Amino acid sequence: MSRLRALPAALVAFLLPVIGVAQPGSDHPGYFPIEDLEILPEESINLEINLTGPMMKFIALATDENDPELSKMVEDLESIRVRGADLEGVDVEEARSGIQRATTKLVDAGWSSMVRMREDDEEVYIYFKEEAGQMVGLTVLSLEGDEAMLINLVGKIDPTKLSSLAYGLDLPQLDRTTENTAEDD
Amino acid sequence: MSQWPENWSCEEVWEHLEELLEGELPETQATQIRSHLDQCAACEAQTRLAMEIRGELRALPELDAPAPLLQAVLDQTVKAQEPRLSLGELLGSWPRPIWAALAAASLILVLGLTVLSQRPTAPEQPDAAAIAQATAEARFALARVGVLTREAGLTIRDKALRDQVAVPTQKGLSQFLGQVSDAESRIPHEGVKDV
Repeated sequence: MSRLRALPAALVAFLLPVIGVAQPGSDHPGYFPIEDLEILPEESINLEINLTGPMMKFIALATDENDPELSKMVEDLESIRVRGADLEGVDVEEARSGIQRATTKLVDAGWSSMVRMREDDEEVYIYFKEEAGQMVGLTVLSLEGDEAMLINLVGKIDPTKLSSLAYGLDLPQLDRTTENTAEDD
Repeated sequence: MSQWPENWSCEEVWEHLEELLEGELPETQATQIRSHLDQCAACEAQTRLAMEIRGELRALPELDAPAPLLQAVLDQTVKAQEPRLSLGELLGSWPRPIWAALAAASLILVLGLTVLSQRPTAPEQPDAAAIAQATAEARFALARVGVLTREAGLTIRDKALRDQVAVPTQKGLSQFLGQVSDAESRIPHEGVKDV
């Protein structure tokens, strides 16, 4: 009889850790919940990228021969998540306030600032999470004119490769921006 | 059970409810409890709830867990917790049928999760188009990070140059030119010949 009474308590204790792993990846120190920041109105979101787990391995394998740099970078990451929005017709000041609140959350959660840039209608905040001398997470919050972008990379990141990525990865969408920055040189 | 109460309290009824439902009580005691239930709405409701839980539990499909797995789960739960009954004792005043039902449901859940977790979980291979799409998205995201990092770096560099070099230099030059201008204005013009 006493055995029967002890059983529920034992089973509850046994089940708790099982229930606790319901959201894989969210317990990683480099994870930051960009989806829950309530910065971008739902209707304004025009880009969502959620690459996690096995798909990251498949990307690394698929690019192993043709693009080893990308392959290596993706292989070291656990997830790539992006939320992009067109802020035309949206209260941009509200979005700016939301980004400020998000930076406070980042600092409170132990993230360090890499870049804080405010210039005219442009704001870029880049924060990183470090663990045992290794960058394990990167979060980018940016507002450029009518465009907003929230990015969270989870996993090992080599900071020296970040800037070179802009030129190493050939993307039509980025031509204008990279040309502009090249002119700045 | 060698001693039966003469006047059944609610607690005593709850204590023996499971035996009543299982048909394990002697007829005399079963009749006494039923008589109590007829007069006690709380115990009657409790009994009905216990019967419903029993019925639902019996309707659940049985899991075909391997005997070694079942033994391992029992070893890790019941046997490991046997000497430490503090929580069970603390909550022991709860009606036994509910605990029994919870225990059975939890055991089924644990067994189900354990069996499922032991299945091979090889990720399903996505098709080539999905991988290509994911690769393009990864490229875009990483390139975007690179561009933003670079742009921000350049802007900060330009701002630093402007604030720390260009502006102070301009101020210094202005001051210098201002001083020259003042000095020139103090030169007496009488002795200066126009060319």
